[in-house]
Amino acid sequence: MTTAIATSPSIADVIRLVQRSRLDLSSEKHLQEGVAEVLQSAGIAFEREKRLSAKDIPDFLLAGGVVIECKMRNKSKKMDIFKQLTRYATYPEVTSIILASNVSMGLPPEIDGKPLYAASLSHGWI
Amino acid sequence: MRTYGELRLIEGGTAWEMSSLEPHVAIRLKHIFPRVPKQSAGPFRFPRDLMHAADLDWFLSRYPLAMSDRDRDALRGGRLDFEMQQAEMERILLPEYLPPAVAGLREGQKVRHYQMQAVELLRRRRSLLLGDEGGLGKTYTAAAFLCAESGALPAAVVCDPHMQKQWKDKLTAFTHLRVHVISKASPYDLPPADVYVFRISQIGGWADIFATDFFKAAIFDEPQSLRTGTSTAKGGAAKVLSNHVSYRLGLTATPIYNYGIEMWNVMQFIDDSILGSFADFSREWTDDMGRIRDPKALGTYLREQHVLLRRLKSDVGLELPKVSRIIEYVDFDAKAVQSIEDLARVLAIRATTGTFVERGQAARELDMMVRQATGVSKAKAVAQFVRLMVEAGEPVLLVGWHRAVYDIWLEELADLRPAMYTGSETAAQKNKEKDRFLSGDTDVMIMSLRSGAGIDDLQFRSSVVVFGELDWSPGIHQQIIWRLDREGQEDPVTAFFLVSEEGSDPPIMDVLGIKASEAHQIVDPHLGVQKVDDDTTNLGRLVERYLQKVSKASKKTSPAPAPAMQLELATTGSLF
Repeated sequence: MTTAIATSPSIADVIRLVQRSRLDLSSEKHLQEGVAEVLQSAGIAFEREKRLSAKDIPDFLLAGGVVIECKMRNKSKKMDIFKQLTRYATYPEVTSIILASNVSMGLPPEIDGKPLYAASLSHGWI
Repeated sequence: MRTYGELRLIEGGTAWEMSSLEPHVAIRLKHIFPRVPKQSAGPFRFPRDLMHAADLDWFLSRYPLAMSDRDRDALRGGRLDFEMQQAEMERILLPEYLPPAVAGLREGQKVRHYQMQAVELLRRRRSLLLGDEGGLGKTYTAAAFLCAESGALPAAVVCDPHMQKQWKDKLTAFTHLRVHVISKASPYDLPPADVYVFRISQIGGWADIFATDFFKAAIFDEPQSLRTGTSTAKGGAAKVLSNHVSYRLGLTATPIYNYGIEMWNVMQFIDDSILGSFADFSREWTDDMGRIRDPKALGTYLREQHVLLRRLKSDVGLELPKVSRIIEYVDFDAKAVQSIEDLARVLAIRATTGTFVERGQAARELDMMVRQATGVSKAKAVAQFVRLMVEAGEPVLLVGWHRAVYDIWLEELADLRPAMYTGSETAAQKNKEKDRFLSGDTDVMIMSLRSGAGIDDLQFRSSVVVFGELDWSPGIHQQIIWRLDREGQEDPVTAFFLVSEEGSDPPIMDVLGIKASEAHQIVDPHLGVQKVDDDTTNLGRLVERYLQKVSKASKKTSPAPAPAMQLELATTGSLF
């Protein structure tokens, strides 16, 4: 898993943006609203809840095929999170994935050749 | 007029009782007053206070209830008083409000406008949690209140042990009030004075004196120390004090150290009518897990009641140099952890297979050991980082928790003779060590995470704080940063959090995030998503200065670069 150091500068910018923002962690709804707010104010274009298929609806899809998936601690199982990200990686329109979460979990650096990054939602609050 | 039930005063006029409600009105009532138990069929009881008078009177305008003329007058009167009180509080909080002058200050001393607003609010409301951001002079606000309100004397101040001296010093320098510092945990003949300063650990023995109504005001400095509630000896005594004074003032910028539910405990000492009984509070505000359901709503409610007054530095136009928070991953000494891991394995097995009591104990020990092991494993890297700062000319406040970690730091930094301000020193030793740091005798002060709240003057000496260990509570970190980020600071403040990717740091950081988010929504409900400053230019400048120094020194003595330098570059390398 790679944290903060990304190959493409725009991904590094997105990760840094998320990590230094103090997002409301009281519910997933509040969290996603906050992410949308910081992306918007940074002038980053995105689609919310883009349906890749009936089952796979990533929280945010950025230009260039970058997925941001938000996950809260104690709300989902780590294995389920990983399976979900693995499914996202199979879609051709997805080029890379950022897991924005406050769950400490190990992730491989890539899935199916698509880079996988973790953006900590805790960092900003420390 | 059609009525939908009855309302009357009960219990000698101290409470309202609503009865015989038509079922659909009872449903509406429960929607509007979440404090009413959902399963209750009535009658419903409400405390007789101004807020409930206002809310009930409004409810009655839609669903009129039968009541006696006397009770109706009481309800109307309560609502009018509520409106007048609200208008008065709003007026005080206006920027153009002209506060009365305060007598009793020493010559040349002034009370600022925002401080006077708090004073006047407290004089009218009689209980206030002053949550101004660290560095806005809450102690001075309290001092101004004691001068402004003669009915508040004699007053009792309850503070952390290391703050007792500072309270006396500040009150004496700022006002003509006579201050007595309490020296024992049991009652003795008190000398005449205006203000008596207690350590929180002393008040347990003074409850009987508190009950005599001798004190007219209680000032709780950092009342989150009482977050464990009224069941402890100190909490019980604090409650007695609170019940027997005319004015109650809590001073804290971080009323919540862990989860938002602590707000209920803190309010028991300030104004126990605001959040009702614990059962009321739970129904109204918490979910099944005991977490605050909507922290922002709790925050705006406390503000509407004017029981929590909080201003940020930016609100009062106080401009201080910016604060950067930098999270830096440092090397982790795997060997240092090995031995503890073996022991931990045994404990882990016991934690899963032992008896109930054994399991709980083993889990706690495990948590403690993993935290200590994490601190130990990065201690050398932390010490090197601190050395880099000091050699670049920056005095450093180094913060940790475990004795074993301090020992490594003391050994690694022995030539710098760090000052120690931790749990091991007495209050007198702490003051001496602090002076040693302030006078420039040493450039490093090692401070315990939990002994820092409130200390002043460090801002004149340092602008760099290094967290070598993490606390479970985000409020603790903030308290420490405010030691440097306060009036008198002339340089940008940098807080380094040196963490490791292994051990207890990652899960602690995740829990910190959740707690900090919840507390933030309650205390500052109107602020949106804030961005943290993670500017590393200050660090870059320091490293550069250090490297210049080292290369000069190595040219003079030997051609080989200092071995420590390599390591330090490795530690900070990811920044550049």
